[in-house]
Amino acid sequence: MAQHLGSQSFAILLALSDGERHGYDIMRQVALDSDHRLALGPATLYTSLKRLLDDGLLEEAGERADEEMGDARRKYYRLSNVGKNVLAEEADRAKKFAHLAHRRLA
Amino acid sequence: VKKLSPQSQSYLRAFKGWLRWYPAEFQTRFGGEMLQLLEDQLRDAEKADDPYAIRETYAHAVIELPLSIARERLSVPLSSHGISQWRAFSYAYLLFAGVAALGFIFPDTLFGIPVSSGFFAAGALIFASWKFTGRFATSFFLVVLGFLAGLGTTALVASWGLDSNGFAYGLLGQFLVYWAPIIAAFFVPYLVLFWLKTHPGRFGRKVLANLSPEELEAWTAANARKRRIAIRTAWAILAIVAIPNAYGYFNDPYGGDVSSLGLVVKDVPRDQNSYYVLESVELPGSVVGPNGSLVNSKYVSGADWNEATVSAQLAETARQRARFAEAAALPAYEIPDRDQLLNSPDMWLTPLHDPEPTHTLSDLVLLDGRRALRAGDAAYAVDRALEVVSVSKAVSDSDVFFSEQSLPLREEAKAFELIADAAKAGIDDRQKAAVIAALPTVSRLNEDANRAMRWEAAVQLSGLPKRGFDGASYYGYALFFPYAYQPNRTAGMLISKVAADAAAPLTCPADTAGQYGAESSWVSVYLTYNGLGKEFSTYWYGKPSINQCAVLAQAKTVDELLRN
Repeated sequence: MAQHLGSQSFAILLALSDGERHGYDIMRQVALDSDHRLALGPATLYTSLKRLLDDGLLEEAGERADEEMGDARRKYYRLSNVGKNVLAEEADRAKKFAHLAHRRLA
Repeated sequence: VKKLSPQSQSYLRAFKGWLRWYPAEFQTRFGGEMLQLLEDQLRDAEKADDPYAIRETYAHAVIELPLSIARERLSVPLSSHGISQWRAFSYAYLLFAGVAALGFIFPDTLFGIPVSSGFFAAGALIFASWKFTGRFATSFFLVVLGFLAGLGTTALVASWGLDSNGFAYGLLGQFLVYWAPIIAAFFVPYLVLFWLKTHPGRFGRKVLANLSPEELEAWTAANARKRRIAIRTAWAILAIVAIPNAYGYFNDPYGGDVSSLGLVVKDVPRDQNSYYVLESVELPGSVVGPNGSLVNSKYVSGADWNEATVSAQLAETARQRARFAEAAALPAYEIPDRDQLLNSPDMWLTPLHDPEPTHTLSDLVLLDGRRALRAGDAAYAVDRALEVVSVSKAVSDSDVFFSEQSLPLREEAKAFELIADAAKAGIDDRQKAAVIAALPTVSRLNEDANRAMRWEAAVQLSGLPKRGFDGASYYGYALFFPYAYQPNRTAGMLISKVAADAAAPLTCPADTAGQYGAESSWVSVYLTYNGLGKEFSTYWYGKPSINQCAVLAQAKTVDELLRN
């Protein structure tokens, strides 16, 4: 992939790395993963989701109710195979950078 | 699941309203989910102890919206012709909007840039957007908004504010009369392109239309509503413009027998429609105009006019016309606006309805003063000049000229020129006191330039030689070239500052004398002196400079004169 992911897109992919989630669930997971440093609102979240869907990194995983949150049906999203690969690549890249940074600071 | 509180429900409704700003496709695809998500957030916020949690949640959601909406609006859809994205549009819009915004913030210095860039950007973007994407409703409205923002800057420039039929008081009126036709014109290319798009002939199909017949059909159907809206809006705007103008034409108070302020003038041709209808104005003192409408009487209102006064005015008019004929024979340099006097006699019919006639009348009064001065009667000349100053002040304060307040100031400037010349011939202390009393009277637009002129008059009164600085030249440039306003203002500011500083002990290092050559301007001398750190380029007037010490000496004298 020529273009690297932005931090928001990366966080969303990361949130979906362990399974399907609906929008609010993604938002909460992103907040948790980032120690509440990254707070996505509905607008930012769905603008990013749209782009990731259009780029083929995410897939829709149908609609169903979330038992914890009531009867309303929610659309779920999951990583596509491409998305998994891109996330892995990004993680590797981040890891290399982190390793490099630690080595130089040591 | 617990029902949301009324506060949260109202936030949710408001958010739903915001979602309508997204493109329809985005709304359909994600609108429901976004609403559901916010509802979930608000429900969680209601459970929190924090009393502000609900508001914060809503605020966070709303703050993100404008950028997100803009992003979706500006992202160009996939094209069937290999141009997947045309991001340059987005940047062009942002750039344009930025320039327009700067025009609002700095109207003096950036005036004109938003307007001109608006024209070019609008044309280019509308065409290019349509050409490559098949859509341009969004770009069209964005460009128009940016263009309007640019136009907003013109409202602050006095000389752009002339109206046509007296309808255009206030910014809204100016907008409708002057700019709505231009804005309406933006619909024309839209409609033309729409037609070309939907009726692709050989030229249109080859050069303009990018879509296949099937796509074209779908596009036409999808845009039919937009086309209807555009057509109706165009008609509405044109009607808004046309109706007041038509009304103004058919009710032209200057066609046929004109009665304005009780003065009846016969057989006025209906070819001028650019005058105000003046209902009442108060002017102290006397002003002699070519039709004598303001001769030796206090101008109160139309109700005070009767046949006797009208007859008297007409008689005075005849007398003034004779004087005008005499004046016209004088050398040109003695008539400030000789061409205007000679070529626009129709304006005489509308004294004080328009700035220019007022200007003309004042010129005549000043002409009278100049004639007297030439005959050696400086005192009479000063009286006439003070008359103009007084009337200019009254006109300025009367709000008759909502947009051209600078014209009375220009008259006043000329009056002070006459005073300055008369002072060379010598005037008595009583008149000198009257002149000094008149100095701070006028303050409106171009106040600083006016101050500059007062400074010059005071210098002349003080007996110092006039050097280097011609206040009148500032007026001309300030009126017609907004860009020149800044140096104009700078000059006024500096003059004021120097006058204030002059009370301090004057030190004039010997090495500064003669430092500035004949090519440098007065303003640049001063900017340097005040340590502002920059030279000012004043290439449009090439007056020989005076050096710092001379300026300071003059300023000190002015200050003493004003204080005493």
